[in-house]
Formats: sequence, structure tokens, C-alpha cells
Amino acid sequence: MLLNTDHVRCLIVEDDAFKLEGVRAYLNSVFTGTLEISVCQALASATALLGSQTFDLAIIDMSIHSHEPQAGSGSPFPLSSGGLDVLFTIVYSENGANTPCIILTQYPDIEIESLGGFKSEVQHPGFQ
Amino acid sequence: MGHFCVEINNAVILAKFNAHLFELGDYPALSEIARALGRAELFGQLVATYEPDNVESEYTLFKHSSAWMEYDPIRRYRILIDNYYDASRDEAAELPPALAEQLRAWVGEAAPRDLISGTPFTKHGYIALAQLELSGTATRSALFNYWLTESEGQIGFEKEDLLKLMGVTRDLARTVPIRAVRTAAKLAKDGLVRLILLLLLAKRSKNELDSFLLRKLLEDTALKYHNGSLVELVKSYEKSHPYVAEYIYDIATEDFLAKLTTLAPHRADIPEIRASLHEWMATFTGDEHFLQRARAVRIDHQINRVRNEIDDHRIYVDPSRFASWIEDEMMIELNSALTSTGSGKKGVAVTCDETILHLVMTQSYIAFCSNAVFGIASYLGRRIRHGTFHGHLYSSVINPLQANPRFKPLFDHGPFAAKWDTWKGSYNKAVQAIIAERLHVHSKSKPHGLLTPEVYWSAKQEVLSSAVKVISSNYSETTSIAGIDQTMIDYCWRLAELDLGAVTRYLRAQQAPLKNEQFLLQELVPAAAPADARLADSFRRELQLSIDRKLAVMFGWFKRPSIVAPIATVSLLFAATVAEVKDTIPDFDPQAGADSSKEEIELVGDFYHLIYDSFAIAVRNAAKYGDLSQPLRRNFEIVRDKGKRLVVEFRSSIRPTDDPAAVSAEIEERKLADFMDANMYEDKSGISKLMLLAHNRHEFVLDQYQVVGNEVRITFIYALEH
Repeated sequence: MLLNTDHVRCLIVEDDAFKLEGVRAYLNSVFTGTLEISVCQALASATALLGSQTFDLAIIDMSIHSHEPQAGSGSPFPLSSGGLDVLFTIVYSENGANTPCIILTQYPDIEIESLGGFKSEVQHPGFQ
Repeated sequence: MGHFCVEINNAVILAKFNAHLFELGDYPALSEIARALGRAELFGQLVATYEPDNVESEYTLFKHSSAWMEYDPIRRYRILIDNYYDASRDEAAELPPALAEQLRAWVGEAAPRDLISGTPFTKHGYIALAQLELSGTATRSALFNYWLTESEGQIGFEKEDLLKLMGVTRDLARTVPIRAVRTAAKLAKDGLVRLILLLLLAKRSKNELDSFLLRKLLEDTALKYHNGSLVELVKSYEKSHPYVAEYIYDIATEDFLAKLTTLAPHRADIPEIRASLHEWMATFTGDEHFLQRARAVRIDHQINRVRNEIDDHRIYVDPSRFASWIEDEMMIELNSALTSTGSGKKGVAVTCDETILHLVMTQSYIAFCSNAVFGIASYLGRRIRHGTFHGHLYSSVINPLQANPRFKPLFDHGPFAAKWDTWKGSYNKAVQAIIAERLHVHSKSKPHGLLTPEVYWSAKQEVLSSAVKVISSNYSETTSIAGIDQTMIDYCWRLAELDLGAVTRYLRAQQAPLKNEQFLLQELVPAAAPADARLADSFRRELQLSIDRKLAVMFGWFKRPSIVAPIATVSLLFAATVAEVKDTIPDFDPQAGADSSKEEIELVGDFYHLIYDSFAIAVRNAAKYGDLSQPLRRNFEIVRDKGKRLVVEFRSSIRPTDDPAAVSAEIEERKLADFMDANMYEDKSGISKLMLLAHNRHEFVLDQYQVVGNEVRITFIYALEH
């Protein structure tokens, strides 16, 4: 359905530059010229962005940081399942329930249950 | 013969305790002996030995009760407690009908309100036991869980009843039935009831959505009613609902706050909120110990800022997941290793079985390294093996060189391009081999895995023994296992640091083989066109330099992450104190002309907070009163005469406008002044604060603080642990 849309707003939450470029290149090859990508590296920036914008698609890395890295402010916290918090934030936001989300993970057995009736599928192995 | 009799006795008691599984009457002899053991008339006398009004008495009886299984009332008492006050299972198992019937007869039909009515709430008729249940907490907690389970969470609580219950129950956060509480939270109409139920779930449930819903409720409540401040929210519950306030304090660790991004939108908000919560707790409890914890949080943040490693934690172990694993897998062993008779009976005896503690630590450390969800191995897998390692060591070395237009003539030349492909192929293979075989926990399937959590050499053995001693002595002092998970996490990191050293050493050793310099010199460079010989050599140098740089960065990946690290070098502590002083005295620059050759002394544990505090005073005084045009000279040295000691000297120049004799007189006067109230006033003399620090901490000596010539000289001596 998204492939037939003129303008697709996509959120990518990914803190690894190599994986980010891989995801971005793949999406650009699929959505030729129709894609507007917003990138966040951390839960805090993603949550803030989701407070003011809605997206047609979200690609979320499972393992992200709490805050964007910033010189002189101390190491952000690594969140091994921080991607789930982004997913929940989307699901529980006013217009987010219909946003398709893809979580990228190499987790073999993370417990993703009872997402409030939302369909959840985990793809293995994760994006490389 | 005596031993044989004891075994027979135990067998009969076991049979009697499990009489619901078979018909005891079918075995007349057994039945007769069973009746003779645990005579009913003695039960009342036994329970009467416990103080009826002591809140701990019932819990102590429960812990002792495993020795009195021959008494029928104990057997029935334990049906309730064992099934509904049990942290080892997520949900209570379905009881056999006979036991379920006995349980119903034991507890009756009481409602949650009856638990707080002040009159006995069980129906068994043993008056002394009912009195212990009334003043105690174990049965009340088990009944709370029983009703939740029976009603599948559709029990419906009155807010005031629930609040009162929270004050007269125990360990609910470890024992509540997860599914039922989740349902009850979903159905709760009152925000506070929902908050309490989600708080109860927070530690018990591993479901991320439960945790998210709690954070969302806290954020929404704080934003709506408390100016977006969690601390204000906690303070608002302090008087009306102190248990809720304490529980939020307990749960709002820095890791929890890291996900509370609406209330903590910036990284620096996390330690600030945690430190403020510690300060609130200090006021709430009147315990100054929490002020020290607040100070420690702020110091650690200051150090992390100066460390300025914004992505230094490639290796990580999620502390909440690991703590939850300890709770699930090791608590039974820990409870059996650490026992005390508790209060409620005369005298307290403490036992710490160090053999079991040793086993618990080694098992926990294996999980810390190998667990597929939270262990170092999983982090190696997700963050390093998949993408990052190869991306860093291969793609980001090769791609920029190939994209550099300066080197284009080289790649346009067929023979060079062919040799380059060969080199790249073998380099890629070597990188992939490290990923496939080495970056693993050692096992049968990964015999070349570099992490060997099960192998203990002398340094690891020393850390392990130290961990056991600390756990043991903490328990002896407090008879509580609160905070034991933090101690275990800290020692697991200390062990991991030793194991991770193997990864760094291996990578260092790969520096030459990876580069394959012989091939570069003898085959790649000569394959360039003769006109490009110098360019080819420049290419080779850049390639080798790039690999060296990438490896140097990677050595930092296999360390204890600074974010969890009570570890710092003396130089880092000094830099952090300087940064703190510079916030108020921007012109202060002590670094110029200083000798930093001896400053890379690493300090482990909470000890460096003491060093930071003493440094902060010396550095602040130098900045405030000294000649800012002159360096702050310093010397840090480890001396091993009477044990291991760190000796620190500071020498600051007196301003040319000040008279050294007058400065000296002032310092000497300060040294003689009363220092016991030094920390109560912000503007108190730094010297008084140092005197107080030396008075309170036996491992710190203020050896010198005096004027010599036109300098102020300060010498601190710290007795080091290891």
C-alpha cells in the first residue's frame, strides 16, 4: 500500500552508522523518490519526535541508546530493548496505532508478548 | 543407629506432610508413628514462644517452620504460604483438590478489607498463630496473592484498603501473581491504584510492556500534576502514601530513569533526578547515608562528563535483567547461604556459608558472561559480531581508501588491482575468522572463544574471594540481602575486566598478521605502475595506519563500560574536579606545566569518591586563593611500605599580593578550629571539611596542609584496598 503513496514519511531509529546506511539504501531503492526519512539514534530523541510528528512507517533497531551521544554530557545508557519502547510509544500515541513498525534485532529470544492486541512479528536474523 | 533413627523419623514426617498424595490409613504402623509425632497440644506452646506483637514474629515462625513439618497446623499453614508467598514461580500452581479444600477451610471467605480490620482474618482457630498473623505480614501477603489469583485479577480494590495493605504486607513485589496483577491494573479506574499495581509488577514481570505502562503513567502523572518532576511526585506521596513514595524511590534507578525520557530529556537529567531522590530519602528517613549516595551519583556523572567517551560501552550487561536473573535463579541459594534467626525471638545468630556464596558467585558470573539475553556474549553478538565489528575493521578501512581519488591511478592499473583484491580477500577472511571463532564465550562448539568465565587464575580467584567476603560481611552487619545484587554486579564486572583483557590482548597480537605487511611490501606495492611507486607506498602506509587506528579504538570496546564503572584513574579524578571548579572559576588552569607521567593510577570501587571529595577541596582552594598565573603542581604516587598507599601532593603558589606569613597564620588557625559541623554550611573552610573527612574515614590522612616558602603544600595519604 505504501508503495502506491506519493509521499512516505519514515522514521528510522538506529545508532549504528553501518546498519543505518544499509537500511536507508534499501528503503531508497524500494521507495524511489517518494520517501522522506527522519533518523534518530536514541530513545529520547525518538520519543520527542514522535510527540510532534506521525509517520507512515517506522524501522526500529532493538538495541539503541537512551540519549543522543553528545560530547561533554557523559555516555548515554545502552538500552538492549530500547526499540520496544519506541514501538510502544508509537502504538500508544494518538495516531500511531496504524503505523507499520519493523523491529530489527539479532535477539534470539526476546519476550515480545501482549502488545495490546497488536500484531507482532519478529524477523530473524536481523539486518546485517 | 542414632543416624538411622533420624532418617526414619524424617521419612515419617515427609510421609505425613504429603499425606494428601496417598491414604496414610492404609499403613497402620506409619499412621501410628505419624500421629505420635507433632502432637497437637504442643503446637500452641510452640507458637507461644514468639512475641505476639512483633511485626517480624510471624515471618520468623515461617522460616523456622520447615523444622516442624510434623505438626498438622504447620502443614496447613504452609499450604497457603508455600503456594502464594513464593517468588520462584510466576503463577501459583493449581492445587490438588484435597489441598485446595483444606486451604479454603484455613483462610475462609475473608475479603481484602478484613486483612486490615484489626481482627484475626483466618479461620483455623489457633489463637496464638492468628495473633502472629495479625501483627505480622507473611499470611496477609499470601492472602493478598491468593485472592488476586483466585479472582484472576478481577477482585477490585478500594483505594484506601489497598494503600493500607501496602503497609502491612511484605515482598509483594517478588511474589504477586503476574497475570492477575496485570489484569487488575488494566481494570483499575483509580490512577493511584493502577500505579501501585504497576509498581508491584515492575520488578516481578519481565514483560517490557508492563514496564512501559508504569513509566507512561509516572510521566503522565508528573506532567499533569507535578511540573514534570518525578521528585515532586515522590514528595507529594510522602505524607499521604509513604509506601508508594518509597517504592518509586526504590525503582527509579538510573537505568529506569534512562527510559523515562519525557521527564529526563537530557542525559544529565538522569543523575540529577537520582541524586535528588537520594536527597529526598535522606530527609525522609533522617539517614545521612543517602546524602553520600547523592554525592556519589553526582561525582560519577562529573567523571563521565570529563571522560568524554560518548560511545565507550560496546560491552554491556543490563543490570535490571541480570538482577532479575539473580532473583529468579540464585535467591534460594543465597537465602540458604545467608541466614539469621531474625527478630521476634531472643538473640540473633547470623550464618554466612561461604562455600555456597562462592558457588553462587561463579554461577552468576557465568550467566553474566554467557546468558543469551543480557550477558556479555549477547552483547558481543548483537553489537559487535553483527555488523559493527566488520563495519569498523573492514568497511571503514577499505571503502574510504577506494573512494579516495588520489589513489584512483593505482586501482586503474590491472596488476595492482588484482593484488589489492587478493589482499582484501585475505584481510576479510582474517576479520571474519575473528568474528566467527574468537569473539565468543569459550565452549565446546567455540573452543577458540576468548572469554573464559569458568577459568579462574590467581587474579580472578582473588576478586572472587573478595566478592564472597564482602557479601558475607555486608550480611553479617545488616542481616539483610538488600543491595546484594548491586554488589554481585560490581564484582562480576571486576571479573569481566580480567576476562575482557584477553580479547584486547588477542586483538593487539593480530595487528601484524591482519596487515600482512610482507604481502603489502613484496607483492602489492611492486605491482603498481613504475610511475606510481611512491603513491603505492603512500597507499600502503595509509592502509596500515588506518588499521592501527581502528584497532586502537576497538581496544576500548572490551572494557568495563564507564557508565557502570566505579573505576577511575587518579588523573581522571583530578580532571573532573578541575572541570567542576572551572564552572565557577573559568580562568583556573592547573594543567600547564604539570607532570602527568604518574597520574594513570587506576582506582576501583567507591573509594574514588573519597579521593574526588578531597581533591575537590584542594583544587577549589588553589583556584580560589592561589596565583592563577602559576601551575598547580602535583604528584601522585603509590607507596608500598605500610600496605599499599596512594600519596598525593599539591603545591600551589601564593598570590604575589598576599603575605605568605599571613596565609600561613590563617591556615594554622583553620586547622585548630572545630570541624565537626564542617559539612553543614556550604561556605565552611575547605580545611575543616578535610579535617572532618580524615576524622570520618580511617583510610584517609591529611598529612600536610601548610605554607612552605611562597607555596601552600598539601599532602593526602590514602590506604588502598588492593
